[in-house]
Amino acid sequence: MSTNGKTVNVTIDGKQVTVPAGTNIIEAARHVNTEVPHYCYHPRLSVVGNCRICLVEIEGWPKLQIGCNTNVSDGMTVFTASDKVREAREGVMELLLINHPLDCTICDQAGECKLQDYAVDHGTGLTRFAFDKQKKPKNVSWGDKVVFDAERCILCTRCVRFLDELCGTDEIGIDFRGEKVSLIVRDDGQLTSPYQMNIIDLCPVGALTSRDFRFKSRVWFMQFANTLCTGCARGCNVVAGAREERLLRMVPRFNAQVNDHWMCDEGRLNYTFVNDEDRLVAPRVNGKDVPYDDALARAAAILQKAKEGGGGAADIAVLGCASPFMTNEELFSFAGLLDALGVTERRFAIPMGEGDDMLLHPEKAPNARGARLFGFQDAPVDAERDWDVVVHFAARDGGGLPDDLNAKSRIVFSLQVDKNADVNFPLTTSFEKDGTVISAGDRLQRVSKALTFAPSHLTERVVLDRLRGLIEDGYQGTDTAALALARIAQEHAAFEGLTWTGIGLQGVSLQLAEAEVGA
Amino acid sequence: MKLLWTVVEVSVVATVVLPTTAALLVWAERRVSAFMQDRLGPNRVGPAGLLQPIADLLKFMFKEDVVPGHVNKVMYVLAPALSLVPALVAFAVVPYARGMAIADLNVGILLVFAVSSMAVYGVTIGGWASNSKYSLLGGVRASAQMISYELALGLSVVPVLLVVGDLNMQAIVQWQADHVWLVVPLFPVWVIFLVSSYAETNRLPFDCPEAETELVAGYHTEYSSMKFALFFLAEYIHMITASALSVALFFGGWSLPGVTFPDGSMGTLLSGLVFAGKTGAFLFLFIWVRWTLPRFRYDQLMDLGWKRLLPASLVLILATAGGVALLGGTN
Amino acid sequence: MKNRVRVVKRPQLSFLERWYLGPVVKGLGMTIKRFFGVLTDVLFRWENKKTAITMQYPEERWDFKDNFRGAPALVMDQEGRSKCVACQICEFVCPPKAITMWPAELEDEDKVEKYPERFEIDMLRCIYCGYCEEACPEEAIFLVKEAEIVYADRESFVYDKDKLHAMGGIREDRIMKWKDK
Repeated sequence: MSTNGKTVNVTIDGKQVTVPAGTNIIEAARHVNTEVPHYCYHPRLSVVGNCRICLVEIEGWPKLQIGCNTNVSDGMTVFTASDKVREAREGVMELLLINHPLDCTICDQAGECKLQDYAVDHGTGLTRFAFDKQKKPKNVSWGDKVVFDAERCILCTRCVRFLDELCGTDEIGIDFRGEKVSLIVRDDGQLTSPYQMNIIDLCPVGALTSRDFRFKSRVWFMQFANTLCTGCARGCNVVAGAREERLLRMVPRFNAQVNDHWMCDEGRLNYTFVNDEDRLVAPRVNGKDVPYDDALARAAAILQKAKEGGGGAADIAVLGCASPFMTNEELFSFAGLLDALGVTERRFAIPMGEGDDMLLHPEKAPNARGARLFGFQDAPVDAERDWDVVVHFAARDGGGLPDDLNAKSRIVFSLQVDKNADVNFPLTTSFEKDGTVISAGDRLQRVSKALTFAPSHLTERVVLDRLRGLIEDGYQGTDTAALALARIAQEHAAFEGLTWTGIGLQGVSLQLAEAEVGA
Repeated sequence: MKLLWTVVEVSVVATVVLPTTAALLVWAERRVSAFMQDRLGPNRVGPAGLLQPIADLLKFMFKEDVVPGHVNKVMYVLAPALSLVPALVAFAVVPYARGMAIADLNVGILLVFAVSSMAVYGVTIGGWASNSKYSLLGGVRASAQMISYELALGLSVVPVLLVVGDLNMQAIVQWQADHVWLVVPLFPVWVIFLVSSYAETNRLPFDCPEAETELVAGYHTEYSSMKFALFFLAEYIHMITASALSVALFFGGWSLPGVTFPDGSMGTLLSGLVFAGKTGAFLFLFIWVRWTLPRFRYDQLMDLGWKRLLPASLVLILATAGGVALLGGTN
Repeated sequence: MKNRVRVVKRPQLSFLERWYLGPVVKGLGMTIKRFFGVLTDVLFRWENKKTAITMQYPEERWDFKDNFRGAPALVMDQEGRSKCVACQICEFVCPPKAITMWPAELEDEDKVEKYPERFEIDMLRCIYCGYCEEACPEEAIFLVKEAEIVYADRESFVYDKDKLHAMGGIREDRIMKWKDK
């Protein structure tokens, strides 16, 4: 869309609106909160205009026009709900549904299916087609991630265009003709693109379903949270769906600054650790489950001894090891606790992997920038030294510290049981708490609670604040992540003026000095 | 020998005959009431449900014997016994067969009234000792009602005495066997006697002392287990005594018109059976009336007792006295 | 304002009426008539009784009408396969949340694709409202004429798939739409 800064005035259903020149009718209608129904049109894909459901009436034009391929011009008057339009939409719906198998009972798309929605909004509820429906292949495997059902497909070609235009792999095509027309996959019929699962979200009907999510839950049973994918430093915005405190799927959420409409398959499928059966649920002291109060008392005793010995000074050596999976609020509380102890040795480690030029970032953790900002260094730990106390936030794989580290006492926060720990607190994943992280490009974004980990569970931030309260008289922690963020905003210049609601669902960009966040 | 026979007689009547009859009466009441309401009633325990009273008794015995904390314990425990004993004692003078009665007193009818007026104490004390508003109201109502109707009841017997000229129950029955059943000449008197005896036994339509709709269960609201069972038993034994008196005073007792029982024990047995049959008919009447008539309001009850039955019975005494004077004494 | 109170006069009873004897006798006649009616039933015509209305429950049973709503049960078609495709709509509409389902993919049969791996109805929770029957798009769940569900422990009230199929039995499917998929 080349606008050249020009704007045009159009009237849509009697409402005046000024939009940039070159905007099509569907987008222009969004400005007046009118939805023009569409299947094949997608703002990031080329326009093909083959579904015909977006027909609108334009004053002075003899025939109805498709909203996706008609750009507005100055003085244009558009009707999106006139009798003529309504009749045309009913006709299109009836034609689309002629060969539709009505699989809604077993279709994963049911509940978020545009065919269902528009059939209710714009269909007649009747069919005049009295003959046998066309039979096409069902349950076709397109590799280990996508399942294809030819009968449900309405041939909008969104998936074809996505893999062609955005991934450049051009793996799907349309074959056969007439009523036998169907999608096929090139070569051996298996998709290979690392972004292939986006076509499942793109598919407006249930023709493409996820092998991973298949039949796990109906969408109306799930509870959704607007959060982030924490598989890499990109911080793709997602909607996480959970049922009965089990995380079942992630789908991308639109954020023009970060991930647009997409996310990678690696991040999308990187959630199963949340549902692991062998997660650590209750705090443990010396290998036994104990109540939080007992574990806190034991940890405080260890830290108290370190404090009296002078923290990281010559007497007693204390190491604080953070993790790049922690939120800013947790890092802030952890840094505060280490300040109270006088600890200077603060480390963290970034798990590295492969990146690409689309979304995938080589740093496989969401908040390495935050860890640096709050004073932790991603430098190797001195394994030769004899440490007295180590406070360690384990990464998802339990790593972050050398295996052969010598330590007298360990306070460990981990997902699984750590056998070497004196005090072992359970770690929550980013889907089980609220907080903020600093993604790639220094963008501050929110993670939100999608499910409750365990009823009696205390988040790490609360544990850290309580520990500090036990060794430092008069210290009071904060109740919520939003209040913790307010405290950070007071103390860190980079966060000045930021509030929980101010960050919003899309996040804000921070102006960080190079020195603060490192490379 | 006579003493031994009396001991046997007392123990058999007081511990076997009357309680068993009362138990059967409970069964009969439930079955008859069911039949009158197009139902079937208890018919599962034993043949035709006849063992139901035993099941009820077992239930009563195995229930917890609750003594509420707020009661006067001595009186509370005493009341059921006070209620039951007069009912048993009053039966002593009933002539249940030819020449047979536990105590053949020459003032028998007076003993009945003397003892049965004691029954009010059990009910009243029970209501008072329970220390509950429902029980107290029930007890107060019972005492007022029983004192009121005792007048009419007592006065309705006077015509019988006037005609027969004897206080001995056997003599009254014998007179009827020789002449005519007293219900024939004294029908209005019998009606007053019957109504008053219903009120005296706290039976519907005069069961104001335990009116469920108003007082939960009246004077025995706070009672459970065997103590409640004693109250229950007392009520039914009162019914038996009242029926037996009605038979003895007005319906010829053990006699049947035109029938002469043979001498010896066979005749005595037959006469006993006749008496039992007549009493049974009256017990049926008790049940029949209960499941037919609604309860009187308390002021209506008092109105009937003081303003109608009392004057009527006085008038009937005068009329009978006049009749006896005109027709000549019977002695 | 208009006076809305209406005084209802009590009927004046005559002297004889005030003795209540007439109605008493009439009432006694009424009850004794019923008494002998039931007595005749019990003694002579037990098989076709006229007056007694009590049903002798374990021996005599209620004749459930066709629209009776008893316990919900799953049905099978004439080929013996469960009609349920695990769409979970019954689970969704169930007001007391008595239905629980674990859907799974049919591996070797590509026609229906989805089936309930486990299907449980907690009969203690069920309120026999019939929403599940009404909502089912496959006509796979019906409320059958089964109302006597008695156990001594809670676990037995949770009916599994086999038990529900046994209760529902076979109902003919006229369309068999999965057959030609």
